[in-house]
Order: sequence, then structure tokens, then C-alpha cells
Amino acid sequence: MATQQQYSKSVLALALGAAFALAGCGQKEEAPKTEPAPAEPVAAAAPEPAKTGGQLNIYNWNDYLGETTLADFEKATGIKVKYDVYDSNEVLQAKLMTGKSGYDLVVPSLEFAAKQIQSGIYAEIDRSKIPNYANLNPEILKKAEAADPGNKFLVPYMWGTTAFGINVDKVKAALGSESMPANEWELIFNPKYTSKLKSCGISFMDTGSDVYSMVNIYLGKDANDHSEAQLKAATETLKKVRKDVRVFNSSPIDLLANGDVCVAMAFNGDTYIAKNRAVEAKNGQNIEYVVPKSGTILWIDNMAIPKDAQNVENAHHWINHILDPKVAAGISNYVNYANPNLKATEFVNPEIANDPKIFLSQEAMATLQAKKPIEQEAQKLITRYFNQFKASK
Amino acid sequence: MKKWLSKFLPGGRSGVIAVPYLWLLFFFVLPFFFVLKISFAEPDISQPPYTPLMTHEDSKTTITLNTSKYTTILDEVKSFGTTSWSEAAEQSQYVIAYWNAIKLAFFTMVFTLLIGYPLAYNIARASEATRNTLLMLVMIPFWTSFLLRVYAWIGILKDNGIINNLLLGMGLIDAPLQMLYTPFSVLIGMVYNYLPFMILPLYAHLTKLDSRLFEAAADLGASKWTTFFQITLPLSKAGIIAGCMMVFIPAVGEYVIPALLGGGDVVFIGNKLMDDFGPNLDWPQASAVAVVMLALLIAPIVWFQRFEQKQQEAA
Repeated sequence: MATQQQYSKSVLALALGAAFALAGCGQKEEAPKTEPAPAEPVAAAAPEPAKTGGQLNIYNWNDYLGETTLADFEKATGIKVKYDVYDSNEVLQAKLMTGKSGYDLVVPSLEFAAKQIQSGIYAEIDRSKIPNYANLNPEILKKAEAADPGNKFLVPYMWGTTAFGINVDKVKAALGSESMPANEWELIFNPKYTSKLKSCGISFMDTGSDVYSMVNIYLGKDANDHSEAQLKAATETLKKVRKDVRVFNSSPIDLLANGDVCVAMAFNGDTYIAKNRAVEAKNGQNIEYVVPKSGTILWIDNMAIPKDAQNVENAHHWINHILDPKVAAGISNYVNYANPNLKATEFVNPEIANDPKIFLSQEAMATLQAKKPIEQEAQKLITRYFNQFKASK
Repeated sequence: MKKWLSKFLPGGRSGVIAVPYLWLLFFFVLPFFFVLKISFAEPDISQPPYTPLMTHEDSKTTITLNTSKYTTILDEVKSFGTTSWSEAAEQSQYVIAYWNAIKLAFFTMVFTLLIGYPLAYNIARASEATRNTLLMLVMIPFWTSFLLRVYAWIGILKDNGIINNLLLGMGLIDAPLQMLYTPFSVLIGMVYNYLPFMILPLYAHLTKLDSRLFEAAADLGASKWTTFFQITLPLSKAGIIAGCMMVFIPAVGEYVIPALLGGGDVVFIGNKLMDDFGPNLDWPQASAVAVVMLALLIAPIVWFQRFEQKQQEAA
């Protein structure tokens, strides 16, 4: 500071002097900031023995962690996490298939993971590094074997169902004298009901394989039957309700929460987010998730480590952290999805743990059909027929 | 030092010219060749999800070009003429998707021209100070995110949105008009978003017009309309074509606006491309679709360049 004051005196020009004074002030302000700074890294760098440090790059779905999941992990391990999010399996797949995504841990859904495993893009999970692996629900692990025989590459993260959410009051008003159908699927697949619900709005998911699996269940067929004959029959059923479907959206949270549609095909978690948003906004929209008695689709999202990951060790630490009962419960409490962790249930908020539409009963679990990997040719047919259905308005 | 450097650096003139060419090379030509290359591969369950074109075995290098992705599109074109429209909608999905995309781009172009021309004309005629303000007003919306602007239209057009609430409040309608998720809302979103692309090139041409021509026309007794149709409009032809290109070409491949504002009943080529790239995991097919689209778009560009060349020669 002294040298600068002397310098500004020697220059003497008033304007310049003012400028230097300002510059001096700037430095003066900065100075105290830099002083305590070295102290912080020292505090952070003082590692407890268990801390491993390093970096971990995670790529996960949006809105898919508990409030403190990340911070707790960083605190406990000293690992610095770079956390990015995506909103569709397609986006994740595009990055993974191109290679060198730079991520150490990703969370694909089961039916996408199957093809990805076949492509050889994942590294095998080393269970010896995951003491908490024993907490996993063997039934969910068994369902996950549809895509990953032997559970070599995937560790279940969260699971849930895909069916539809309704705006209870609007649906009642639109149906009028008609009572709710015994088979809940009729609300979205039977023209008798859709023609009435059209007035308050119906939205379908924009994912062909989900829609066809649900129609198949409605028609009493195997959810995973994507043969051309079945696709044709299902498309005929779908076309009858096409004029009543207002919009296609795979994540209709806003549509439901704002009352823009009264029936929306959706993941259970999206419906619960919509429900909570409507409650927060106090907008009077009463939203409820429906799990049809005849069953619906079961989905499982899984943690996986790409083969070209740089921080494989830390990715295993993360998986172990997620499988900690309290951590898993913390995620469920925030995102309203069921976790596959047998020991976590006691830490889950009772209203979630006891909600039969989130943590399903044994009988309800038996009616669920897990989505199986789809062959490429079958997938192309699904896309083609789904476009036919969409264009048939 | 300077002399030493100048041996390696191109001279001033060619240096300046090189910049846009390098840009085109790295961000257009090279990526295009990647796409072209993938379009001749076959989908494969591997990383990346397509087969290599070149294989090396026993000191023999084989190049395999798979043209089936193009014949898929070509077969659709062939069968298109022989089937009824409803059958074509089911069988020839690529052809229909190209047609829908070109139709939407065309109407977007026409409406942006009808709205953009008077706007550009008046901005060009305004005084220097107001001119800059008006131009800023055209460009300021571009400072907000493109997605936010599309979402804003959802809020305006939806059943309990601004317009419907206004009309209901005034008692003009009894039930909300369904405007969102219709072809109408898609067109509004397109015209709104592409309007500046029309206004700016039109403005650039209209300000360059020699004002003495208008004075001369007025002196010779031409009415304002006659002056417009005889002088302004013909002289701004290049601007109109430039504006139309700026709107039409990106509009053909538009994916986001129809996806957010449309009801899903019209499948555009952007949707088909996404289907092939995403769930179908058929990158070669998606690439072939993109290459064909580019080929379709090159025709009007070449025509425009010829036109400009002719005009320059005439001038």
C-alpha cells in the first residue's frame, strides 16, 4: 500500500491520483479476503483417516437425490463430486455410446441398460468394495436380472411403477353420472370414458414402449409382447382414443400440477411431485396416483460404472454410500420413490413407507411386469406404430 | 521477428478470408462428413453403435458402404405415389415427415415475410435515433433463453392461460378455446421465434436503398403505392430472398417448437430423426435422414446464389 501511495503522490495529476486511489482501495478491499483464505483449505485438507479424497463425476436423472445426499458423501469421504443431470434415457445413451463421456457413475433404466450392457460399455461392479450390497432387496435384484444376468453391471437405485395420475375432482366432474370403472385402465383406454375426460384433458407419455406395455396390460396380454400382430391390435385400440388425447409428454408434472390435464400417464414419482407442487401452490388441484388392480409396469433405475470411467474406486464408494439405509431413506423421503434397500424402510417417513402405491404390497408386487430389453427390430416397429397412432387424430 | 512470423502467416487479405472458411471447415464440412460416414454404416450393438466402414484383415483393407439406409427412404418415395394418402401416412412416414416439415417451414416463411416486411420497412424509414431503438426491440427477446420464450407461449395459449382468461372474463366465450397443442400454436411459436431472422436481412437491404430514387418517383407523380411496387419491392428482392432462406432452412429441421407446442399429431422430420437416434438406436438411419434433408435444402441455396450472382453481374 505504501509504495502505491508514494507513487500516486509523485504522479500528482489529480485525475490519475484519484484513479490510483481507487485502485488502492480495490486492493485494500481484496486484501482481507485473501488473508483468511489459506486457513480454509488447511481446515478442509485436514483429512480424517477414512477420507479418500479425489474426484467423482456423476450423471444422474434430474430431481433424483435427497436434500443432503451429496453433501454428506463429500463430507464423509472428502471426494469432490461433479454432479450433472439428464431427463431422458436417450440423452444418457447418446453420451455413453459415443464414448469418453467423462462420467464415473450413471443411472440408466433397466430396459435401456440391457442394450448398453451388450455393447460392453460398463465395467463390472466389484461387490467386495460395497459392504452395503447385502442390504439390497433380492426380489428387485431378481427382476433386474432381466437385463443384467447375474447382476454383474447394475446396482438398483430406485424403483417404481408407470401408470397414470388423475385430478380427482376434475375427473369426477367430467364423468358426471358415470361411476369410476372397475378396471382403472379403462379411464385412459376405453373411448366411453376418454370421450368424457377429453374436456378436462388427457396426456399420454411420449415413449412408445411404455404406452404399448400399458395397452398390452389393459388388453390382458404380456406387457413385453411387442410382436407385430400384437402391436397392430394395440394400435387399433389406441386409435379409438386418439382424438381424446390432447398432448404427449413423458414427464407431465406441470400439466398435472396446474390442472392443464386431468388424466396423465406418468411415472409414480412424477405424479407425486405434481401432487406436492399443487399442495404447495394451494391451487386446489387434488392429484392422486392410480395403480390399476390388474397390474402395471415396474421400472428399475440402476447405478452403473462406464468402462472408461477415471474414478472407479470412488464410484464404488458412492454406490456403497447410496446403499446405506439412512442415505437411501433420505432419497426416498425427498423424491417419493421406493428404494430397493431392505434396511432403509424404518428410516423412511411413515406416510411414504406406508403408501401402498409407493412401497407396494406383496400381492400388488406380483401383478407388476418389469419392462424387458427390446430387440432393435421390435423397437423400430414400436416407433413406427406409435407414430401411426399419434398421427391418426 | 515480425518478418519471420509473416513467412508463416498468410497476408492480411487472405488471412481475413481464411477465418470464415476455417470456421466452415471445422464446424460444417467436417461434421457433415462424419454424418455422411455414419449414414453408410450399419447399426451395431457396440460403442459407438455402428459398424466401421473400413476393416483391415490379412493386410487387405475393405471399405463397406451400406446404402440400405438410403433405400429405406427411397422405397418410401417410390411407394408413395401408388398408395392412398391414409396408407401413405402409415407406410411412408419419412416422406410424410419431410413433407410436413417443408410445409411448416413454408408457412412460417410466408407469415414472417408478411409481418416482417412492413416492420423492416418502417424501421429503415425511421429517423436514425428511433431506428436503433426499434432494432433493439427486435433483438432484445433474443437475449432470453429460446426455451423460456417457447414456454411463455404455453402460458399465453393454454386453456387457463392469459388469452382464454381474458376472453372468458369479457364474456366473449363460454368455454376456453383450445389453442395450445394445435397446428395453430406450432405456427405461432415458429413465426414468433423466426421473425428476427426475416426482419434483419430485410432491414439491411432496405436501408441501403437510395432515397433519391423515391424523390425522383414522387417528382414524376408516382403515388406511394406505385413507388413501393415499382421501386422498393423490386430493389429489395435480394433481401426478401435472403430473409426467406434464413427462416426456411433452419425451420425445416425445427424440433423443439413442435415438440413443446404441438399436440403430437403431426410428425416432422426432426421427430423422425430423434426416433432413430434415440429409442431405435439406429444412428446410420438418423444420419441418412439428415443427409437427405441437407440435399433437399441445398437446391434452394444454390438457386439463391445463382440469383445473387446474376444480380451482381447486372449491377
